Parts: sequence; C-alpha cells; structure tokens
Amino acid sequence: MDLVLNSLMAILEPRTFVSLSLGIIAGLVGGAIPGITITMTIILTLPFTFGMEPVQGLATMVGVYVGGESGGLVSACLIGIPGTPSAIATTFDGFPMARKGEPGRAVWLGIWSSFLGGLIAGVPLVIGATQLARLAVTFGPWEYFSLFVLTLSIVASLSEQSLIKGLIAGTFGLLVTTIGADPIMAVPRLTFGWEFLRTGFPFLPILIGVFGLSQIMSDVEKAGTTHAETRLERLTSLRVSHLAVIKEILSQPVNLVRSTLIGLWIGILPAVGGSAANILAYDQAKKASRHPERFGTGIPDGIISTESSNNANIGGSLITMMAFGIPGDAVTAVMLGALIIHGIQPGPLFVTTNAPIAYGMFVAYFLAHALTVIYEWAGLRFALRVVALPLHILSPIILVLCVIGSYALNNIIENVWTFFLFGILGYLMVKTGFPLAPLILGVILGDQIEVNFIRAIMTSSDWTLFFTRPWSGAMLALSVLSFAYSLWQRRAALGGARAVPPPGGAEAEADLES
Amino acid sequence: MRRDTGIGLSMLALCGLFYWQAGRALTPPFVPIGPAFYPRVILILLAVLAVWLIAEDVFTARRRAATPAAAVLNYRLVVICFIVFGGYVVGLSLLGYLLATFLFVLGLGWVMGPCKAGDFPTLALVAIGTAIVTHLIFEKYLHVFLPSGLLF
Repeated sequence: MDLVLNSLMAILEPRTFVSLSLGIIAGLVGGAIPGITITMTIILTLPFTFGMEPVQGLATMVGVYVGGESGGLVSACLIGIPGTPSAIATTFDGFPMARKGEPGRAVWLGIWSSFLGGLIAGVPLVIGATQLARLAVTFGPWEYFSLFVLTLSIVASLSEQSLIKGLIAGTFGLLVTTIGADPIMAVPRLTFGWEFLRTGFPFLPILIGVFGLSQIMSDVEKAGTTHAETRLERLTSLRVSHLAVIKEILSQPVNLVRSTLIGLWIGILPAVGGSAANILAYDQAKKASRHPERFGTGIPDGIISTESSNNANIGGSLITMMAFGIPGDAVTAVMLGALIIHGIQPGPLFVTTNAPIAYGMFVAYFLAHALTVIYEWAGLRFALRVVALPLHILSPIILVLCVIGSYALNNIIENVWTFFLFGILGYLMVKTGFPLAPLILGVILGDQIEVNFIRAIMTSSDWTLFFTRPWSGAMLALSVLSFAYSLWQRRAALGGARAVPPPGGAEAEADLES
Repeated sequence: MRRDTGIGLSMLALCGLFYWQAGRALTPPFVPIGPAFYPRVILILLAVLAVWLIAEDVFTARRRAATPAAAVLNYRLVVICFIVFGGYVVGLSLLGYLLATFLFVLGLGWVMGPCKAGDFPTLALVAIGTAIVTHLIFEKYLHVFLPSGLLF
C-alpha cells in the first residue's frame, strides 16, 4: 500500500503530472488525426523523454498510449476514418450513428466505454499479471500460428456481402507481407528487382492508404449529392447526457466485460495489438447479439465492444511488457526501448527490482484514463470544428497529414507511393464489395503467421501437431467453426431472402443478367 | 464477362506471376524450407479462392436478388482527385514539401469545391496555412524532415 501511495505522490508531483497531461493531449491529438497513429505519436514523443526521470518518461508514454486509444475514436466516429488501427471497428457503428445526427452520443459512448474498459483491465494489470500471462508463454509456434489463423478467420467471416471476398481479402493481406525479405533467412523474394521492396511494404502506409484515401474518395464520389451535403450538417453538437450514456453502457454488462476481456487477452498475446482486439470484440458482440443485422447501422453495442476492448488491450500489452519484457504491440515495443535507454532491464524481474517505476506506471495508467475523459470533454468542441469544415477544405488537409504520416515512418518518398497504391486498391475493394478489415489484419498478422508456421515445421516435421496439441487444435477447430457458422448464417439469410420474392420479379432478374 | 469473374481471372493471373517470381528467390543451402515455400502456399490458397469466386459468380448469378438502383456517383471527380494526388506525390520530390503542399491543397480544394472565383482567396489561405503550419510543427518542432525539392 505504501508503494501505491508513494507512486501516486510521485505521479502527482507537478513535473510528472504535467508530462503525463501533455502525453495524454499528444495522444489524443495524434490518435484523432488520421494517419498519425499512436505508434507514430509515441515515436515522436520518445526523444522528449530522454531527459526525464524514468517514472516521468514512462508516465508520459502511458499518457500517450491511453490518450491515443481514446483519440482514435473521435475521427472514427466523426469522419469515418479510424485515427488509429485500434479504432477500425469503431467506424462500423460510430460513423453511421454520427451520420444519423447523433455524433455526441457516438463519441461519448466510445469515450466512456474506453474509460470503463480501461479501468476494468487495470485490475488484472496490477494484481494478476503473472497468472494471466503464464498460459501465453507456454504457447509454441503451433499455438501462435493457430491463434493468428483463428483471428484472421473470424475477421474474414465479418464480411457482410460475401465470405469468399472476406477470405480473399485476408489472404491477399498475407500475400502482401510475403513481399520482401523472408523473416527466417532474410532472403529477398517477390521484389521484381525493386530495391524498395527488399524490406517489404511498410504496414503504416498500407493502413493509411487503405482506410484514409479510400474513405476520402468514397466521400468525393458523393460530392454534390444530398447524402454528402447532409453529412456534416447534422454534426451540430456533441452535447449529451453523460449519465444517460453511462447508463446505456452499463445496461450491456456482458458486452462490456466480454469485450474488455477480449481486449485484455489479445493485449497479453505478443504482437497482436488493439487493431485485432477491437475487430475481434466487435465480431463477438455481433455474433452474441439478438439483433446482429443491426450492427453497422449505428447501434451502441458495436461502439461499446470496440472501445472497451481497445483500452483494455493497453492493460494486456503492459502486462506482457512488464512481466516478460515482450512487446504486446508496436507501442509497447517503443516503451521497452525507452526502458532500455533509461538503463532498466525489462523482463520477469522488472516489477520486483524496479517496483517504484512499475507501480508508477500502474498509477499513471489509472490516472491517465480519468484525465483523458476530462481533456476530451474540454477539447471535443475543437474536434467538432475540425470535422465541420467543408469537405473540399478538410480532405486536402487530411491527405497532407496522411502523406506526412506515411513519409515520416522512415523519411522515404516510396512510403507515400505505397500509401497511394494501397489507397487506390482500398477504393477499388470498396467498390467491388471486398471488405478492408481482413486485408489489414492479414497484413498485421502475416509475418507472425509465417514465422510461427515455418518455426513449427522446422521444429518438427510432424504437421499433425497443429491439430493434436490441445490449444492449437482447439483454435483451429474454432476457426473451422467460425467459417461453418458464417456459412450457415448466410444460407439462412439467403433462405429468408428467397421466401420474399424480389420486387420486379422476372424483370429484375433479367436486369441482373445484362 | 461479369465483374467478379473478371476479378477472379485477374487474381489467377497475378497468382501465376507471383508463383513464378517466388521461384526466383535464392534458396540458401542447409535450410529445409526455402523462402519461396510460404508465399507459394499462400498463392495456392489465393488461387483456390479465386476459382471459388469465379464459380460463385457463375453459378449464383441467376439466384441473386435484385439490388436497388445505385445513386449517381461522381466517378469523374474521383479519377481527377487521384490524378491530382499522384501529381502531389511527384511534386513532393521535385518541388519540395512547402510548394507541393500549397499547390496540392489549393488544387484539390478547387477541384472538389464549388469552383467559384470568390472561393479562391479562402482556398489560397488554407493552402498557405496548411503548408506552413504543418512544416513548422513537423520539421521545426518534431524534427520530421519533410521532402525537400529543387526549390525548397
């Protein structure tokens, strides 16, 4: 208890508190601006922490992390572009809700869900880190491979129009990651002689292009139509009854807790970050719902599931980082780097040998969640002003920021071309009914799937281990079940559609043939 | 030929090209699995899915329900915007960040907007502001070195 109180005093010390606050604000702004992700924000913040005390520096980074996760939902809800990968699924219901004239409700459902999900996940972060992480570290390459396949299969089944198109999008994402040096021997492949491709396509420009550019072009094509004109007219106010919003969230305790646990668990697993957590939580909320057909139309269930899961994911990632010295995602990878810069050895002994720093991070985590709500309450009016700008003013500015986000990754213009190329691809995918989320998840998980697949085969030539090892077999079985369930759902929907003859009858069918 | 069939056939061609290209990767000695193995597994899977897509498109076309008439969309503007953006990326290397960004924001805003002469000063101010403010924040404050061209 003394340790907690001492850590609280250390965090409330003016310099540390100001650093934490600035970190939260930087995270909120970086997370809210499409193209400037949390990873980029924390990379940009890193140099500022070099001169700080370890607790102050790490508190700042925790602030960026927590603020960024919440900031990402603002642009996801208000302009339909996820500010961060972990807000991808928030756009599915947040943006339609905002377009229906309830931007305040959409945003605050997200903010309060983030807050509650983060707080719930903070409990296992503090008291159960070792226990929860124990299972994950017993995983071998078979289990990791199967886990990634399960995640990808679930996301592919998210595709509304066609399961096959979801599968193709996910597999194409995997193919994209095979371009460049192979992760085992670093031998270049599929480069077609282009030097730039030797290191493969960077993930961030792909993400920004697929979501950012395709979203802007989808808006551009509607320019001049009634639909586009009403888009921003309705975003008049973000005022809501906070009590009503909190009640709305608490009226779905199962959704909240399930999504939080999914986020926590995905966070604990190395290399699977909030981007996978929010999509998985959304999928589970949809499958468990009594009205799955309403998902994607702007219902609170979707926002609650995604936003509680992505903030809970922070807790999970920090558990893995603090207990095992393994990054839960790209952001904690940067934080591990910061620990090393400060001369602190991450690993299983970190919490015991650096208790003041570890508990300082715990306190900063909880405090950052509370402060984030306050700062968002104070700064949302500014967000609304940004979003209320006319499309022909806003779109070029967003694209410029997306270009900077792509370019700044390693200061090469080829990244901007990657952004452009995948922007065109994303737009074409939208127009031809291919879902974007499986493509992105394929790109996120591609390297890890390959590494674990090859490792498993190189460790033992017995391929049946993928099925006979209990966890691996169970996860592959779940993948198959996910497909089967998705196919069954579609057949059931098709049966229902056949029962109702289409308007126009034979004429309508004839039109389709032409 | 239907759209999905065309996509499926294009994907099969892509798979064939990549399968051939994957085989050109050097296989280090003493390694049981070469660098081409995994991409080829993915390509075979993708080819199977492409065949499935074609089959689904061919065999289910008659069963599909009628879709409501799509809204009239401004694809011409989309193509113009893509061209303007492509020009911006080229311009970043040639003209540098400041000038290219100014021209891009001005050009895209003009193309997308109502195109009235009275809007030009506002657009020009936004373009100047965007170029200078982002340059100051990222280059001067955050030390992100933005592209420099022949002039700046």
